[in-house]
Amino acid sequence: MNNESEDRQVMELWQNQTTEGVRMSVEQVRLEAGRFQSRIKWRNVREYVAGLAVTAFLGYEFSRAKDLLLRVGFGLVMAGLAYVVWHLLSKGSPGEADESAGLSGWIEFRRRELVRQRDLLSSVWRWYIGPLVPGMVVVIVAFGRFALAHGRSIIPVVADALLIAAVFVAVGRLNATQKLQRQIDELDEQSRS
Amino acid sequence: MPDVAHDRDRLFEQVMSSYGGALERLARAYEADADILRDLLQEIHIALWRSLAKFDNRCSLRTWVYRVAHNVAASHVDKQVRARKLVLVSLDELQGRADESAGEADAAHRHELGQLYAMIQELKPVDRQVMLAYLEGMDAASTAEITGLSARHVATKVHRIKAALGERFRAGGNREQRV
Repeated sequence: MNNESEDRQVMELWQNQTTEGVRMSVEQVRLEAGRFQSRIKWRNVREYVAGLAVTAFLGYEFSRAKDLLLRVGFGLVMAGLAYVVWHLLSKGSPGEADESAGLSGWIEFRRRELVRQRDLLSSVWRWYIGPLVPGMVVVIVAFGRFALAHGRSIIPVVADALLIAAVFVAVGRLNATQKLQRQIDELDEQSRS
Repeated sequence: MPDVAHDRDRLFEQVMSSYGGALERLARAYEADADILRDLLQEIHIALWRSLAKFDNRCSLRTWVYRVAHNVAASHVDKQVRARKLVLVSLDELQGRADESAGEADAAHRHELGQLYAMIQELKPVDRQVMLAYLEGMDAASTAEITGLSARHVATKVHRIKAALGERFRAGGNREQRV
């Protein structure tokens, strides 16, 4: 048997295989697409509500605090959070892929996304941890000072400070940039091969 | 606006009747798990329906359908590779692996179609797209239009695909006895 005949047989094997006939009707696809849009909308609403809730809480604490240092601390935390949210909205939102752009368009889009994620992760100290640290430090110092002034134990304040520091260090040590870089290199290799 | 929506619905029905089977084969080539496969197929259908609102006849409907379907499937594979830590290979790497993986494929899939799927599912998205276009009987120019690769690049890949298929199926035994 020659190669051409073998090639044809493989193609026939592929094209003549039994399929289950899974087809969506226009009504079904319209319904599912609507559900998909709705899920995205509710996810955005949830994120905004969560942001508003945190802001409202901090705003309430800010207005209620009698100690000037504590007010400064809450103010700094709010400013830091505003910067984090702004940074995420301006640089952290994924772009939208052009699904009809062909493979090269898909690779380009995917690469752009990976580079964006890598850069976000590698600068996490600058845009996420850094802006929150001054406010948190001031709030903790204010609580500590309050505890000492009123003869209360400082241990809970120290424990909270250590917990917050541990979370910051854990976030800062997220070492996914190398993994993302490997994925970028793989994509580059794919578009070259 | 109603005309645009109507056109989209009409095109979608046309896509389903003309390419429904090919889309199912394509989805199967990207996902082996039956439940996830259904989700992937549904995702492809929805992406197609949404994309058809932008279809402007600058390429053929077939090219459009395959571009959208491959891109959705490639994104799916990308997620699966990260989630399941899969290792995909290129066509070059596939050649020469006939002996070692034919045995594995034989154990998992005891027929040739199963072997063919196992072989396709090992491939990186770029090579997988070219392989699928080849199996669907498309010429190099159509494949190039769908993938965005040059026709020469596609021809080189098709050459490697033929070699890998020949090697795999010869290694798997005598085709004539089994088809």
